[in-house]
Amino acid sequence: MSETLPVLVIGGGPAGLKAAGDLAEIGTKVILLERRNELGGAPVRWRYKLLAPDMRPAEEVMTPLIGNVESNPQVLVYRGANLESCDGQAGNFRVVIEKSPGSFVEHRVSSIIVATGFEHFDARVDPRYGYGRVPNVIGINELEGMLKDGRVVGHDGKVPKRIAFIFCVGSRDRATNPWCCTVCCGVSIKQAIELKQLISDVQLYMIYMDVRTTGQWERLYWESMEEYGINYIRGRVAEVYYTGEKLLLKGEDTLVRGPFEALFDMVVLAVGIEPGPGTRKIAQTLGLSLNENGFMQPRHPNIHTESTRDGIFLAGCCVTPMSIEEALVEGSAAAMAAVKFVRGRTRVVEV
Amino acid sequence: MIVEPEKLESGGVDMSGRWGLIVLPRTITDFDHSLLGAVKNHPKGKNIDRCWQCGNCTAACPVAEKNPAFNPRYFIYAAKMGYKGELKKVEESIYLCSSCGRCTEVCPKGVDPSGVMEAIGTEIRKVRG
Repeated sequence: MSETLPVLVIGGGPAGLKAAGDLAEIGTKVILLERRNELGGAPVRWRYKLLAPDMRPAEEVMTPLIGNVESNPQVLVYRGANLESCDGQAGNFRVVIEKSPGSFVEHRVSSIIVATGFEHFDARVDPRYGYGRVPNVIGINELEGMLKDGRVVGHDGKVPKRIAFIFCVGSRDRATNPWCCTVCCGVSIKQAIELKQLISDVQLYMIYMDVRTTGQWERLYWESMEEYGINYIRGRVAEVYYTGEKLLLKGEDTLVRGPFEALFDMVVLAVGIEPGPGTRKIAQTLGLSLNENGFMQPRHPNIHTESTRDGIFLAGCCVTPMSIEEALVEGSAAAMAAVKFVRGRTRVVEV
Repeated sequence: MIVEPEKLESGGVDMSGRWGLIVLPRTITDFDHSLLGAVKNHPKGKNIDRCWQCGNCTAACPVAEKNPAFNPRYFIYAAKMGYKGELKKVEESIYLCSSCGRCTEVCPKGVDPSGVMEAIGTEIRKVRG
C-alpha cells in the first residue's frame, strides 16, 4: 500500500531539508539523499555568516532545519550518496541509491521531491576578470567564508583598503548565463556592509548594471549608501589587470559616459546561480525536463511544485534562483504536494 | 579635452603648430572623496550620501530643460566620486540653479539636490583647478 512507502527527497539544502522535516513532522517516512558529505546545501558549504536583509545569523535557520531531520527517526539520511536509477511508476517508484562508491541499496518510494539546488558560476569561464589567474579576485561565495572567519585579507595577508564588487558575473549575459540570479545584488551589498564593519577604513565600490534588491532587501541598498558611505558606480568592467601589487580595473562609467581605470586591492565577483551537475544528473536519471537555461522545468512555468512527471515534485534553486526564505517555502509546498498525491492514491479507511 | 600649446618642443625638435595638438585622456584614474567629506560637512550638503543617481532631479529641473550642461544628478555624482577635474570644468554652471525646489520635491531619497549643489559649488571653489 503506497501510503506506507516513504517519500524520497533528493537534495539536503534548505528546500530539501524543509520538505523532509515537514513530511517527517506529520508522520510520513522520508529518505533524504544528499550527494555531499554534509547536510545544509549552499549555506553550510559556503559557510554563510549573516542572512539578508536583517543580518540574522545563518545558524538561526540552518541549525533547527538540520536538527529536525537528523533527530527525527522518520528520516533516513544518505550522505555522500547518489541516485543510481529509478524505475516503476508514480506511487511506487523503485530507486537504487549508491550509498557509497560501489555499494548500492534499493528502496521503494511513493513519490520524489527534487531539491538539487545550485552551483555558483565558475568565473574562470569569463576571462575578463582574471579569476583563478590573478591574486585577490574572489567570488561572493569565498568572501562569505572569510567574513565568517572574521578575517578578510589578500593573498599576501594584507588587509585590503579598497575593494570593488562587480555585479552580474555569469548572469544577464548571452556569453555566459542570460538569466538574473535575483539574490546576488542583495548578498553583495550585505557583504559590503559587513566589510565596512570589519575594516573601518575600507573604501568600497559597487560596480553595477542595476541594483536588484527586491522586496524587503531594498533596505540594504539604502543603508549601504546612507549609513556606510559605500560607493556605487554604474557601468561595466572590461578587464582586470594585476600590476604585481594591485588590481587595475578598466571599465566604463555610464553615469559620466566615460572610461575609468582605477587601482583596487581586492575584487569581489558576484558570481551567479546556475544549475549544477546534480540537477543535470537527476533530470537525466528521472527523465525530467530542463528548460532552455538548464533549470528544472515545472509542468507549468508559474507553478513550481509539479514537475513534468507524475509523482515527482520540485523545490528550490534547481527550478530558478531564489533566496533561502523562498527555498524553504518551496520545500514545504513540495512536501504538501507529495502528501496530497499519496493520499489521493489510497482509500481513506473510515473507522 | 584637446590642448594646443603655442610652443611645443619634443626631443630638441620644435613641434609647435599642427603637430602640437595633444588630446588629453579623459579616463578617470582615481577616486578622491575629500570633496565629498567637505560637502557633507556643509549644512546643506549632509544628505549627499543618499543620492542613488535616479535622475529625478534633472528630469524635474527647469534649468536643465533649457541648458543640458546643467545636470544636478551629474554634479552630485561627480562630487561623490571625487571627479574634481569634471567639476572644475562645470564649476560656473553649478550656480545656474534657480532654487525653485522642484528637485527637492521629486527626490525619492530626500537628498535636497538644490541644497547639495549649493554646497558643492561652495566647496569646489576652494579646490585649485
